[in-house]
Amino acid sequence: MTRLLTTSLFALAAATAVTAQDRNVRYTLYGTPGLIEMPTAMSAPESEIASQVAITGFSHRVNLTFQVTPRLSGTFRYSGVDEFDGPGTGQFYDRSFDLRYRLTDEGDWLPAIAVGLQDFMGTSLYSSEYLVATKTFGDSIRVTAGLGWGRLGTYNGFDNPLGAISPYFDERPDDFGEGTTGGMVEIDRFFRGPAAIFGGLEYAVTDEWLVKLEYSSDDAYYDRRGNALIDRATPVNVGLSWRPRPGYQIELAYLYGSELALSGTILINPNERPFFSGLDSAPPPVALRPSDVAAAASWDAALAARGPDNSRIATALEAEGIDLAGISINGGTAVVRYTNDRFRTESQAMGRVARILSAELPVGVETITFEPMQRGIALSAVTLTRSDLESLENTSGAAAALFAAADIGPAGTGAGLTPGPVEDNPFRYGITPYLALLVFDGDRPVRADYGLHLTAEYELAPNLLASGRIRYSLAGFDDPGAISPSTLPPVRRNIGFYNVEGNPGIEHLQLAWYGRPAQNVYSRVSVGLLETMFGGISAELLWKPVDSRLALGAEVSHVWQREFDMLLGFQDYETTTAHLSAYYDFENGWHGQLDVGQYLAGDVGATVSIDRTFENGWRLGGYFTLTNVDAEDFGEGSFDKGIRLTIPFDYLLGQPSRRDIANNLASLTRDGGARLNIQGRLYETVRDGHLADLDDSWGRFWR
Amino acid sequence: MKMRLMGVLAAAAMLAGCGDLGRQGILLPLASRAIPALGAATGGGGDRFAVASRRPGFTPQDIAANTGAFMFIGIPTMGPPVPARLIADNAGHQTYDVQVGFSVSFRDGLLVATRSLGEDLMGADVSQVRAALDAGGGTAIRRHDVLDGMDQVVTSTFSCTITAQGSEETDLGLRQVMARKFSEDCQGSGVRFENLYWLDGDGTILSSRQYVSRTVAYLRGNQL
Repeated sequence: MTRLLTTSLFALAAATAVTAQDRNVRYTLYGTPGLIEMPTAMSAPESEIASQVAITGFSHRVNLTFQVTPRLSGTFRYSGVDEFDGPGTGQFYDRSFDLRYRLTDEGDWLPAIAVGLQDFMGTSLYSSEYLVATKTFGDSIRVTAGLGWGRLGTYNGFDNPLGAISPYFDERPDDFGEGTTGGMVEIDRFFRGPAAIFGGLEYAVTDEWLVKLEYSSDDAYYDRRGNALIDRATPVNVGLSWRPRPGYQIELAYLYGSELALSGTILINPNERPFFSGLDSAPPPVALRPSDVAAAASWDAALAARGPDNSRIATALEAEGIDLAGISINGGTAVVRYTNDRFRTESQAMGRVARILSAELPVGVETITFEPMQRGIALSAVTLTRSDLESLENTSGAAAALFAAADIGPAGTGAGLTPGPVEDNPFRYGITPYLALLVFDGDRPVRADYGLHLTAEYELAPNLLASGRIRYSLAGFDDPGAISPSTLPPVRRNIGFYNVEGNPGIEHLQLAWYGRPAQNVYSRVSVGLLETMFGGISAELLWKPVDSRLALGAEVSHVWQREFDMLLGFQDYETTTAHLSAYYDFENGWHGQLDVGQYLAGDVGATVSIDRTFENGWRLGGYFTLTNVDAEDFGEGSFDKGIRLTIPFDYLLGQPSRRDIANNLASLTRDGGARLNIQGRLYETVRDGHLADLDDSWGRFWR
Repeated sequence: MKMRLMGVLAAAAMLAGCGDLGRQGILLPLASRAIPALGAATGGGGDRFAVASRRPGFTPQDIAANTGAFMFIGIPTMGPPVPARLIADNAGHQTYDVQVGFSVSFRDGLLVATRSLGEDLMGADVSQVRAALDAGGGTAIRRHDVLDGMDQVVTSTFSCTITAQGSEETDLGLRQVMARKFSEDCQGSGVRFENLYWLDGDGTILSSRQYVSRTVAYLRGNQL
């Protein structure tokens, strides 16, 4: 324990090591790198994720910014404005997205220059565009000047200089009209209408403390009826920013001569894993075969004396969280099938299996084929030579050399394998606490749900799994929340009733059967209560060659809507939903998915998803769905879209785990473009064992 | 903390007090006293040792029965040295299971790998260092692999100078020996470190302080 603690302290200290750039990029009250309310041209370190809560006397904002590439950043914002619809109307909630692209790096003489779009597809409460330049002087002073349009062109604005190019730029269409559903990209407003100058100064007093002074070109704090939300006495804002450690920032600001603002920002970067390669237990070392004949004979004699069964190997694998499915030894070749229940990557599990087999196979076995399995299906076959394992262990360049020599292809048929000992107890269960945030739920934007999960799983056969989960919420929901009307069948918008009435409730209870009907084809059939709101039957096929970055899938489900009490009953609504899917794993850490088909409400359309995937298991991405439901019928947001984030447990804990925390941060629970949330879809089940993921994670083979 | 350090010092002193190798009659009772003393003298912080000392294969009897199969291994940033048991000997490439749950591997006495320390040394090429030690000094290039936060192997190359420092008496815990001391100054990839070695007449490394990685820093090890 002490060791773990010490290590983690060291690791954390190192993981959050200060770099000059990191120290100097602070965040605005909009959650973007910048001054107080005004942007700068600076970029955060690549992949940094900044989550922020900013509070003023008249509004609050929850901001999430991701530095997508060294130059491109994106921000999602959820804000509430007091009495925007007039006195006594309470909070007005609004979602918005920003994008910023840094055009140039800062040079000795030239500033960094960036162009940005703020709130370009929400309801456009904060809609503006800007061009901004920032230059650092010495160690501690940074100066910014910019030109803003839209909201950033509302104070001391002047005729749009772009009007010289075309009169098109002279006038800006209305930013925010009553009754709009928002959610569309408002290209016809970009860089139009009056422009204004903004700017500011940052002075780093120490590494931790930074003073900000800005001249704001924003004079748009008015409610929908045009009444001032704040008493704006001056365009000058001042701020004091404190970053005691690189992982967080606290800032106090005085806005427009009348309003105090406070923000807290937490920074995390997937690139900087706190525990480095992790505190996973040390693997057993590779056993070197004896070189002389007599010793080799005694090695084999010892193996023979241990008996013909695989129980020794199975026991050793079990200690590593790996379940032996079967093994065959045929002359100089061994084939082993196993299921990894512990390690996030199949590469690491394979390294453990390899080391254990090095001590347990007859001297004459030179080639070992590893066939990792998940849910009873073999994912691939990786063939390594035992001599390579013996000679490369603990050498520099061992991972690359072993991967270059590996033969990776489709798994065999499994014929001729001697099965491992049958798992003693095919029944597994656990009770775990849960915490979930219910976001954008009508008039209560964020609610915490917490309680207990009772999860159970019964393995009827390796590829036939019964599983279920009961949820007992301790949050005490008694109000289903505001449910705005729609012409669509209520396939998702009634989620609040499930939270209120379904406690305790069965989240899912299903029987799933997995198969591999052809070499590159995988199948799944699930029956039962498939998810919180629907039950029925679902079938899926996936074509995914081991070495292919492209996968194609098809899924058909017939489902009935479940009762709000989340027990075994169903409501009247039933529907068939079906999709064709294409998945593509780009080599540079990006992953794309296209699903085309019929959704739960009977609407037809397509979902486009793009995710930044990190080799260490982090994922951050976005998606949108366009169907034949028009924006008016869909309701607020116009169409379904959102961002999602997955953080692997082993990143956070430093201990091996196949679990992760997945969060859908921006989906609205509306009815258009809604898909089933099925457990254990094929693509995610299969891809870990295929070439691209093995390649990405191969460094862990030797860990 | 102070209590724990004193306990360790006391234990080390007791272990160091016994002279000849192989005289198990003396070693066993001394080791028996010494190792429980580690746990007893360290209060709450000694739990780790109390637990660790119950791990099979690390009892005083085990150590006394085969001292050649044990080392003392310590990471100064993490705690005092503890016994480590040889679990693989592949023609001079030796791996030790350290009592507190990590492993270290040496090739001809030079550290080539650690596991379960966080920023582990995944593998190393140290052949030139060994040659320089054998030659009584010289220069060497060493290569170290670590895994970065994205599970990618990062190889650092260091330029090293190995210098003989004369002979001195060194304390191996169970015995004091005269040994030839060498220092190895290395620089590269934005890091500078100094390894220290104490060799016997055959060139076997009896005791050493060797660099692991930036956050783990040095590993100390000595034969018993």
